[in-house]
Amino acid sequence: MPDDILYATLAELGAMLKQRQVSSQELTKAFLERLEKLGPRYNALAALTAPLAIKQAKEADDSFKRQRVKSPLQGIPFGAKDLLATKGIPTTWGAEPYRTQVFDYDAAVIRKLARAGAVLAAKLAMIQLAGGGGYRYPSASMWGPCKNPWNPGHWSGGSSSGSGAAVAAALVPFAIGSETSGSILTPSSYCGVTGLRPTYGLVSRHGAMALSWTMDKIGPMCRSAEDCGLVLAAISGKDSQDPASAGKSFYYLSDYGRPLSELRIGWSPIDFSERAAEPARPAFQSALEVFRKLGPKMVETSLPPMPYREVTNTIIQAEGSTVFESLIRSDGFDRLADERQKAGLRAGLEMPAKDYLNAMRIRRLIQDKLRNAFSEVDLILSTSTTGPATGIDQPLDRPASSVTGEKRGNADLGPAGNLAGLPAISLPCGFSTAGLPVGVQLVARPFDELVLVALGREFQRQTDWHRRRPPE
Amino acid sequence: MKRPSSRMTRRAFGLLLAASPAAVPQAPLSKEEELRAARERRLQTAQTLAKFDLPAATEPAFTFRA
Repeated sequence: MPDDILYATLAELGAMLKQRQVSSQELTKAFLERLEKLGPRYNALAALTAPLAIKQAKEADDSFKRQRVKSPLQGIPFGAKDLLATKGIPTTWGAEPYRTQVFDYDAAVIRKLARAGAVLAAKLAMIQLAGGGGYRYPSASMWGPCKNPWNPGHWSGGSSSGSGAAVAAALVPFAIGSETSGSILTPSSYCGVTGLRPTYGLVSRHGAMALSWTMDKIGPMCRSAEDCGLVLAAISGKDSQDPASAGKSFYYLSDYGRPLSELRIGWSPIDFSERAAEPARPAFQSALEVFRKLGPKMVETSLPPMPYREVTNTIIQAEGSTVFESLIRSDGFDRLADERQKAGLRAGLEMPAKDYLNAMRIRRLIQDKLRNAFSEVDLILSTSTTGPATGIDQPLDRPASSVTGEKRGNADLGPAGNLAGLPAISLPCGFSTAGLPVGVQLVARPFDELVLVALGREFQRQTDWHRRRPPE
Repeated sequence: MKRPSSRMTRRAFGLLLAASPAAVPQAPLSKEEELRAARERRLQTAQTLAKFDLPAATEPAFTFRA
């Protein structure tokens, strides 16, 4: 299969399939072969779902023959982070104790993509339990550390590790990841792909492993912002089986309908200078210039000083340890990799209720403050990660304390945005001096994913970072 | 009195790098040490949040409906 097809966007693949230039069965076979050959190279593959994929691909081709097209995703293979239940196929949550776990139903997202005619080609590797407890090393996964296709000596990021690597290396045209706090945006930045974290409640969590009931979001990781829009349209919507379902849908529009010059983008100079890792600064600063030239009003903005990280850590620890209490108390618990993660999960069970409740009270104040911030701007722009991917054996140094003081910029945009349930998109924006990708993030108001996709699309019309291909 | 030079010699810079935490590989912690460290982190976080001036009327960010 020519590289141009393997690295094509969903819109391009959809057109080729409709015009019968390629069949879904041919496409699926090509991606299954790549997954089988290259997936293990990056530790990105949890399981191939070949029999299902071949069946779905044939159904898609039969529909194309009858000129029936259910959706722009019909016939296109994808990978799903292995925390999404897939009927009759193991769903391991990236964790050794769950190696043989099989559900007898599909997660809502899997059902919706099947209804859209997409083809499930693989379950993708992830950090065990989506990182609950706080892991120290990229190897906190039953498949080992997921390697970055741009440089396998570096990590792909997590916890949606396999999803990031698989899209970057064109093992699948798109993937589904999840984010509690950083798990879509980080691997998207590190792997040079486009990832979208939807508003909390927009996409059903039914059938997805819970880490934090009040913070988990499921979202697309793709080759472009437009692709993220197409996938989000398929997976969003009301679901009575998710108690947190917002009851809203996302409709992708190719025309935003509002001039970009009317948008106000908040940003902080320090995010693109002192706070950014030096090898990545030129890429981040070029991205800033591209956004300026697109015409929106750039407004210097800093998040109000609040204990974002401490609140995030408390909530995720309390909810995550409760979710996994039976595992923590079982003999199987010690089969997890990463001692720091295990200790974090154990310690979470000791948290007094008042600590969790007070964190949730501060969270309400954080939501109010962010609502006020978004009365002055329509989006906030920052870096998705401060720098490129870390070394595969390097311990992960995640600051536990929120950034305070005059020079805080929007350093805590990640935890802040996740606490408030805000949508975000990560867009590849270039490379570090060592040739590793980096990304910028845009955060919007709740349910304003369309502005993220629209601005991302315009950014990608002016740049070609999303088109670059890692060495094979 | 002669002012001390502000220039760092290469030898001194090398010693500084060698002494920095990043240059010293850390021995893995035992299970008990990891748990102690995790408990300590949780306590420190709780202490930070306890200092936050939380208005009494603020309710948690979840709503129950009958």
